[in-house]
Amino acid sequence: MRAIFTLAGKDLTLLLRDRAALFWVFLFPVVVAVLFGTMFGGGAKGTAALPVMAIDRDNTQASRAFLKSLEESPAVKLEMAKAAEDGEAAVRRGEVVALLVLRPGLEKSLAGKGGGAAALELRADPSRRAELGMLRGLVAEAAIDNIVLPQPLELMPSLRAAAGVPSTPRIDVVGVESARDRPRTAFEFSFPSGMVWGLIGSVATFALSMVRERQAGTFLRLRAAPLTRAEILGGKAMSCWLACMAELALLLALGVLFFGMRPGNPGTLAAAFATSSVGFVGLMMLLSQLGRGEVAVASAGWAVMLVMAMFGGAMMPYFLMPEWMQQVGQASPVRWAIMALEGTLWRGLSWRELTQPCLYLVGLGVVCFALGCAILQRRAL
Amino acid sequence: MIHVEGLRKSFGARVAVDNIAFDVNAGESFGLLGPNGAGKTTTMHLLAGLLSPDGGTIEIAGGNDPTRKAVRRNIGIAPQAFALYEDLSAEQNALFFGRLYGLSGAKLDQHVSWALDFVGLNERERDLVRTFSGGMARRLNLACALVHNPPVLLLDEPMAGVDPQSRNLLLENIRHLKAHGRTIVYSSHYLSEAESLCDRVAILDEGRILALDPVDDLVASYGGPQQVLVELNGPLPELDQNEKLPGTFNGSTWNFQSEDPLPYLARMRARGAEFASVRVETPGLEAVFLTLTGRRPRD
Ligand SMILES: Nc1ncnc2c1ncn2[C@@H]1O[C@H](COP(=O)(O)OP(=O)(O)OP(=O)(O)O)[C@@H](O)[C@H]1O
Ligand SMILES: [Mg+2]
Repeated sequence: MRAIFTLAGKDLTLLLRDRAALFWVFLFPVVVAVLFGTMFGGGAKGTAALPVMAIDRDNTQASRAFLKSLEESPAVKLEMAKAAEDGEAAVRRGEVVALLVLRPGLEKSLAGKGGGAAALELRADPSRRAELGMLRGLVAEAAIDNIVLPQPLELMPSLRAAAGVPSTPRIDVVGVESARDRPRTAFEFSFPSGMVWGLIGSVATFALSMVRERQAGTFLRLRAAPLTRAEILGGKAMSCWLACMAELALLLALGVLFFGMRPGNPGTLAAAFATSSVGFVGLMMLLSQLGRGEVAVASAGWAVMLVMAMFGGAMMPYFLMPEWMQQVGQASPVRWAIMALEGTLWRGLSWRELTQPCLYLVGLGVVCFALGCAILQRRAL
Repeated sequence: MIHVEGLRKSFGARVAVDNIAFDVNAGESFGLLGPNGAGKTTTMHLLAGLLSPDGGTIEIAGGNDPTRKAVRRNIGIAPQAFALYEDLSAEQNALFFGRLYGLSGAKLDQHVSWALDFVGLNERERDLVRTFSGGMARRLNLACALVHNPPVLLLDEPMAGVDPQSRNLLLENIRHLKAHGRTIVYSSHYLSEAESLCDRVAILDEGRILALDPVDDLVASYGGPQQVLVELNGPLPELDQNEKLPGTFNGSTWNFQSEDPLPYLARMRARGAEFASVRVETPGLEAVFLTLTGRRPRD
């Protein structure tokens, strides 16, 4: 273990002396987080269908018609929830934008006989403002389409709007309950993606340092020293992991100090940080073996990482991506890291909900690391 | 201290080390000489446990498998290619490699300053390696092999690119190490170094040992006779038809090979020739090399 720390200490000293590496690991992620956060407080247009869950408590002909027209809208991907709890859990996990509850009395309300009470309810995370705004519009539209109008007006649809009767149904938005009071800013979207860019920067930096080590001959000397192969690679993994953790901690500190972020449970946060770093350390090991020279590894590495970032939601918010991209993105560690980071930074995922992304990240890390080691082993002798 | 038998290593179809065997005693310094691609570095790397042999056995530093880490602890290798961190200082490099061998605290500091002193770099210890000249980097490369003061040292062309003064200092210091019981395997193209440093020398070519003996014996067996170069004052004297003198005549120079040149010189004198100069060249490893491999080394 001492040897691993000696090796890691050397790598971190070298990192501190490499300006380009410092830029990619620490500065670039900050720029991404702040710039993206500033840029996208705005709305979203022309996007893929918004995933929504619904539960029908009115259960009338009118409510079913309403759901049908909502379902027909290309902008919405509707799924029925078995129970409200399932829907809310999905919202908390960020899988759907909202749980739409059709309250009893919707039919009456659509016929203009409901009094003032809102018959529709969106249980959603208020922080997903852009998506929620779109969804509200779509729900209102579907409701208006299903308004049961008095006879004469029904014959003259063009008069509907002008007449304004009956009024557009009201929609209540209910925040999905969370014990914490969470300030919501666009930075909460951009910081996880900045963090992931920092992880990508670390991967590139350390993959290159593996190559340099081989080219500078120092790898030979490490192998000549009384170290096991596992210790040598462990040292590299440890230093990369520490750099990842330092980058995540830096962004967290900036986010908390200057950008109004208030993450909840430090335990889940630490787990998300640690497992994301593990996943990317594994990637580093594999990418470092994709070629022999610096240029080969750098270009192959960046190409792989860019594709992963693009599909994984580090370039644009996941919900803005076309559906097929989202599907492909399921395979990207970037997607899972963002899920874990977002989940703990502001979505308030429970330990149980965090298990899946964390397991994926650790599993990926271990598999990639093993693959990388196997290739290295084959080459070295 | 080192016992090698039937050692073989190929890279693909290319045989780099072909069934070699030798022994090196404790406190001995052993030279590996050979032209480019002879297999010197490959042999060193096999000894250091950096490569697994395809066949044969290696016993070194009290163990029988240098790919095991406990055995490697007792070996120091100065690789032919520099193996240094350019963005660390000389001292940081030495400290780092010392730590890998389990040194720490005051003992580590002491070893590091000794090793840097050994190669004459203590004045530049704070400078980054990237600011070093080639020869300085070569010397640091040696220091990093010494820092844990191992009983067995594998030095793969440790003097390449080192200037003559520093080379003399290094040779002197290495002889000192040898006097203190270190076992040294030394590869070089500089025959003069090997001659002055090594007790025994193996001449390698194409992965095979062509000859293995003390330097003097090698010279005696393969060096050929002495060369005598005579420069005459004035023209050649008339020579009797049947009075054969050896060698070749070219204007006023006379070249011949002989183990015992004095009788010929005396006869020439008797003919009235005056010598401006007489030079006798004793054959060295260079001649051995040439005889055995048909090639001249770089030096
Ligand atoms: N990693 C390798 N892959 C393929 N071939 C190799 C490798 N290392 C060495 N060789 C081959 O093995 C042979 C011996 O090489 P080696 O480096 O041992 O020679 P050397 O005696 O050290 O030469 P030099 O004086 O140039 O340092 C050469 O033909 C070389 O091409
Ligand atoms: Mg060599």
